[in-house]
Amino acid sequence: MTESRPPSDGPVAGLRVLDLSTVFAAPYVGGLLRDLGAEVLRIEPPGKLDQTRGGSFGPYLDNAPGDDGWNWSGTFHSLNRGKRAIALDLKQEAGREILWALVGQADVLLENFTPRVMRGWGMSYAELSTVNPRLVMLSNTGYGSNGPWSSFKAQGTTLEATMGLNFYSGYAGMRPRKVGQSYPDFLAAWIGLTAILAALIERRTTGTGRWIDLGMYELGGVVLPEAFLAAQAGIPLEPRTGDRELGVLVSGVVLAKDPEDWLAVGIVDDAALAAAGAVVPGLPTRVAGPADETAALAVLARWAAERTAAEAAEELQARGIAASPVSDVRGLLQDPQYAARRFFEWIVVKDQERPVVGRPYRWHGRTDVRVRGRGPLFAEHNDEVLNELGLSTERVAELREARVVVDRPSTPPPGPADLRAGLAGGVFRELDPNYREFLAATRRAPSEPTTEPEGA
Amino acid sequence: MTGAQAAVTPLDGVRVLEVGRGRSTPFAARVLADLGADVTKVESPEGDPTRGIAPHYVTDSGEERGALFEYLNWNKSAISLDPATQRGELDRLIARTDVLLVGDDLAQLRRWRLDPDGLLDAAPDLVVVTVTPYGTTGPKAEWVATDLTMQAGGGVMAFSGTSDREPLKRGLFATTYEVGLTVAYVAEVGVYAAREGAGGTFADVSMSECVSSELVMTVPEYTFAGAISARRRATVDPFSAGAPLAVGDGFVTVQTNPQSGPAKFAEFFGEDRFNDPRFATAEGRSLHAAELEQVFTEALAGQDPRDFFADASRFGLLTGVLQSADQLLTSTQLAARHAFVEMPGTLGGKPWRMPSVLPGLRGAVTVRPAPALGEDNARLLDLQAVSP
Repeated sequence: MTESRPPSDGPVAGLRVLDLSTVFAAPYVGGLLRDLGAEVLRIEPPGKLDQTRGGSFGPYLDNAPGDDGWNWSGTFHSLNRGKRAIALDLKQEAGREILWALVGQADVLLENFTPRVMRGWGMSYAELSTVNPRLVMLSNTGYGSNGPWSSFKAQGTTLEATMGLNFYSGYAGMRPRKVGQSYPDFLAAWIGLTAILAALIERRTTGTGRWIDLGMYELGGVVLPEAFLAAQAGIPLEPRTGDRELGVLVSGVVLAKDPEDWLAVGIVDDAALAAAGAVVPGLPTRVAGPADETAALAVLARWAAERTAAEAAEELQARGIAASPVSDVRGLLQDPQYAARRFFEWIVVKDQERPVVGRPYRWHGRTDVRVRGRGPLFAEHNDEVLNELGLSTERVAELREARVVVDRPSTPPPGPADLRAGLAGGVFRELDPNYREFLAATRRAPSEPTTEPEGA
Repeated sequence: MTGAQAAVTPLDGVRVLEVGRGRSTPFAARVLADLGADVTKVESPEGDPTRGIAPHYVTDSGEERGALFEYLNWNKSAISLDPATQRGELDRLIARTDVLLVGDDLAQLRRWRLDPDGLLDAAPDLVVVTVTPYGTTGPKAEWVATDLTMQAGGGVMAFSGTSDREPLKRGLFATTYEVGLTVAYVAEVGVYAAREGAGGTFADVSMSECVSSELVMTVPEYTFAGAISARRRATVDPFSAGAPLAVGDGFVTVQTNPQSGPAKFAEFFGEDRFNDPRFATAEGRSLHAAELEQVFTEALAGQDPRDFFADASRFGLLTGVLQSADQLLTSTQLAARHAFVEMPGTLGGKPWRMPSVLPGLRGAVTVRPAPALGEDNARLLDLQAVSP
């Protein structure tokens, strides 16, 4: 759109993204677009802080929020890496005027308000595209823009049940369970990126953008085809089977030598069973039903109890059998595979290096994809962005006076999290007093892909 | 076939060659096909093993075909080649494509003798995306995986399930399909860059790392504050953990946020016990989870879970209701969104539908049925003979 592109080196270098979104899904879309080289600007409200800037969604750096804790949440820096940020009151006309000016220069707009909010501001896609027909806009909502539930508020944690995911997760014969962190948000992030990139590719030929009306609710079924097929074919499907996998001969999780050192195994067919039998003494040579599978898992459990999960997985994988330790965060940070592929990338926060989740692919080409620095502090780029828009110093002062532009959230600074209560309440398994030393050791460990030894 | 409305096809003119077996890669290619890409699936003569997975549906001409294969491969063309003798044919197809997707394992690259770096040398604007359990480099490149072991190694299971039991996986193959969504967008990034004049790309996707990419809160809890997420107790704070609560013949979920805290639930239920100071913070609720669940159980007694969900949502609360595939198929909200695709033929003797990707972008569309093995051999192999 603009002829003079900012210097950047990613595959989508030159794209300008406006990010009005909060929490996980759409901010993550923006963070990953930034890794790809886009310029991403967050617009945050003066008072209603993004939940990932603090509180239970946002662990503060060393749990020491100080008097500006909203600037030091690890979750926020993970999701919003490399972005800039301004704080703007969009409930005021003058705030929306600035947004209109930014929209005029933008390629992509990310938002996750309930559908009435942008409409109420006169900023529906139809209206925004009159000033910028090339705009690609992602509206990530709970239920989409239309239908009887479209005005309902939603968050990943509650949607996970509604969209079908929880029904099929849980221990056999037990109540449904949530698995993972906020799964619907990640489905929405990946599909949101898919839709945005498709629209950007299309725009190269048509010259016009698109509105992407994404309802997270409708994403559950997409990843559950087996459930929809069973339901319509009239085939009984056990809704919850724990760690037993559909179509796999023997699958489960057994405890290895040490506490909390678990091994996951998937023996897919008779050939794999025979191969496993060469490693695991006493494993049945034939598995014909659930009783046989249970017996096989008992043999695997006895065998695993004499070795670490990492050793057990190595032995099984050497015979071509799917097996893996159940990794926790420390396990991932130490995993020689993740180290060799440099999955975690390091950002600098308050002069300290900390790792954040990178991307699940290595990118080999003329363009570079990487985490381009920490997330923005609250209102960090107010003056820079308003100056770029050509606003005079006097005008910016007026906007500050009217609290259209603010430099500090109007909410009180958060206190530290009560991690000990989290431990006592079973939210955390362990508080590691030496985590900084652990991270420093991880940072120092060699991670050359060609020379990485096992069991680093 | 004609759709209920014209299909939106933003990827019109993007050519994709899928050398895929399994779930992730074929699903990624199908998502691209839904968005308008011209997708050709290449199979060896024995075919993608998912062709044989039950249940089978019956086509209009009375033929039985795998229903899951249909879901993963609609809107595609198909070519069958013998990797031992027709490798040259594959090279000619690759020379005519924008994107090459290969997966779901390293064996698939070997079967077809595909070397991404070599392919890029020959076709500098090509986008090659490989999909393997751990990526094609590193000490675990040769490791194989199932959905279970991928989730285990990816880090989501250690804190899923209950503390008194083994780590728990996510159900069915949701996570394996989720990988396909990442593959789809990564392929598009490559196409975008190539068209911007930035050349071709080899993107090496690790399925395990796709799982780990979900951990944007669990990782910083440790790397910023030293806390390791736990598998929770059997009874957890329903306001922060997303745990389904038993109500009548079903389950509901509830969540608080800074704008809608326990007080709003107290107001909705007319139940002052939600205002108990012990329930004011997540830490307090985790210590008194059983008491809070008891208050919910009493407040929800005798309610229909779906009525509670609708009433509470209209009141502005964050809430959900547990639903199965059967219930989603009859959801009025999903119907209003045109969230299902009408499938060809019959399944279980009846017409059948499957979830659509991006209904809010694509509109209500029908699909071109999945191809038979080698269905397009004559058309597509002839084409390349005419214009090499």
